[in-house]
Amino acid sequence: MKVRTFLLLSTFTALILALWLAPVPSVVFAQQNRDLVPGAPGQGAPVPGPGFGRGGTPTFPGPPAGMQALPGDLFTSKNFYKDKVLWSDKRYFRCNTPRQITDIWTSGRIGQKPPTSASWGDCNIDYPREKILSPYPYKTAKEHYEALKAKAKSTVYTKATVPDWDGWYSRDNSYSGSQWTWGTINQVSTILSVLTPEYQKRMVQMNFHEGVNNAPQWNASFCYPEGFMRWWSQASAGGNFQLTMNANQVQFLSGLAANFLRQVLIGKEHVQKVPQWYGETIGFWDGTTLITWTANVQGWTLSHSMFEFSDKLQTIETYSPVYTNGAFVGLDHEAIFYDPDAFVAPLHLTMRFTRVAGLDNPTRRYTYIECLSNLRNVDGRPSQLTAASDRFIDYYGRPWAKNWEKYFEVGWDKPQDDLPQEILDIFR
Amino acid sequence: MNKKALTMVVPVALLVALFITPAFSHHSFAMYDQTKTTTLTGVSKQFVGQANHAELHFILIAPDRKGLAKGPDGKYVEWGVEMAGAAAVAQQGITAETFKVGTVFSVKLNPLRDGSNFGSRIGAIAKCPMDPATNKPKLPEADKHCDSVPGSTLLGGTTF
Repeated sequence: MKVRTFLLLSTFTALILALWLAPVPSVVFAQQNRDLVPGAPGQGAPVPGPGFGRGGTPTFPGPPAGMQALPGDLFTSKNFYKDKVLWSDKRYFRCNTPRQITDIWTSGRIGQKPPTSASWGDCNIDYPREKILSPYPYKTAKEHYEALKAKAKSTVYTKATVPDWDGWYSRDNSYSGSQWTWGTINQVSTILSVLTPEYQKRMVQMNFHEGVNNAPQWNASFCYPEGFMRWWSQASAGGNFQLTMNANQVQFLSGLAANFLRQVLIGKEHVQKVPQWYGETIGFWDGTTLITWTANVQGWTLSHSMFEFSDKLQTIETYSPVYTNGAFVGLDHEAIFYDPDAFVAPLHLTMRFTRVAGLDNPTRRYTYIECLSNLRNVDGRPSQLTAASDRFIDYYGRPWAKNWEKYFEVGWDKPQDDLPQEILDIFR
Repeated sequence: MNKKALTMVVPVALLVALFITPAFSHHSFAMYDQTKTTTLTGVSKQFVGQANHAELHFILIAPDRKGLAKGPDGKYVEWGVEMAGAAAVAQQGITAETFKVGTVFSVKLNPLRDGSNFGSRIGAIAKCPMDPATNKPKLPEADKHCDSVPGSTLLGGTTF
């Protein structure tokens, strides 16, 4: 093959791949992921795959052709609360997706005179609101669960007969085009339209302070809990899980910044009296389909310019086996989110989880996450503390002893700490 | 397209795909000044192998490379640099084992906006080689960095 043909083919293929992966703009790679290696292992899925979709929309320095800017918007506002009438207009957010607003400073899309120079996104990108809303007639999770139970073929498994779904799973990224919880495929105004007024206000507040003030408050920065709905966020990797099961319970374990432990208790009832960070989940089998009901969830936030949810949140989820040529290959998952405080109607999401390895895999491990952070808000924005700060915690340097030495050993005659000998010896 | 063409194109495409495969961060990098790049050479004091973002803490070497840098208060100048998660940087050869206390290296970083001695790593880390005769690291010349020392190694990149 001639060199020219080879170059053309290579370029073409690379471009197709790049588009298929819908990646973060290159500037974001340069700034946020500059030292990450391909294949960096997560828990269940070593590599985020195709359909990544973060910020992969065109960027416009001004309104795209045919789009008229509003006289005032999020990036010119002095008080977003007073702009409420504009929140339903995607132009108020300059057609940026929630994820683009989260990344607008680090991606360089904020422009040269922030915040008013913020870039526009693609005004044509959106995932239909009607597909976000639940297609089912049920008003509550309880009603939904009881209806499913009433028409189910009640199935009780034993340890010997329970379906063998054990293994390591990854999200099927061909579904990424419908994952509205990722904040990558919708106009902000579309997401706002499924929220109640109070939760609209909270979401716009987050958009404003992330996009305009550059004051992100991501959960993992401060080792806050992930919170229940973060299982459905893209970056949490909650959907890349280790699954183990027996006749009494089905367990999902996953996480990157924090651990998600979800247990479906088969044939049980809800007994928790107070909200739990990841709720309390009960379930039953309808043949080979697992149906679950999660309640008693602690209200929290999806963060990253998305929305908050309340402790009224409940979900009905189904897991159905997928077979290829008679062999089990994964699970089809459907979730219905009921939260009358936060959502104007129940919401809906589907995903396929592919079993990528069995539990007998010799090298896969679940590494329990201990979130250790020295990020603290300094003048309202997260910043990394250094050893020079009184608030810095050297987690690997006997922090408990540091406390005693600081408060109870002042002025004592004791062995002095110096730099390690290996360092001092270099110049001797 | 013939078979030969395919065998050439597919590896190239895969390489491209690998190159642009993204990963997730656990905090925003907005706290770093991405318009500034600082190049530092120091001695490893601690490798913090955190799952989310591994860190290297190091003592700065003076510009003349004849001793450790000290601040106006007479104390050694300590810096830190954060990277990807411990598992990810391990694939680049950056571990507690390869960056033992006393390892001399150079790194480029975007510093914190508030001026504190901490940054976010950019590109490769250059490790100064060991001198077998003295069993000490070979240091760069004044105002130079480890990449200039013959026998130095680059980790996590091909250029410094």
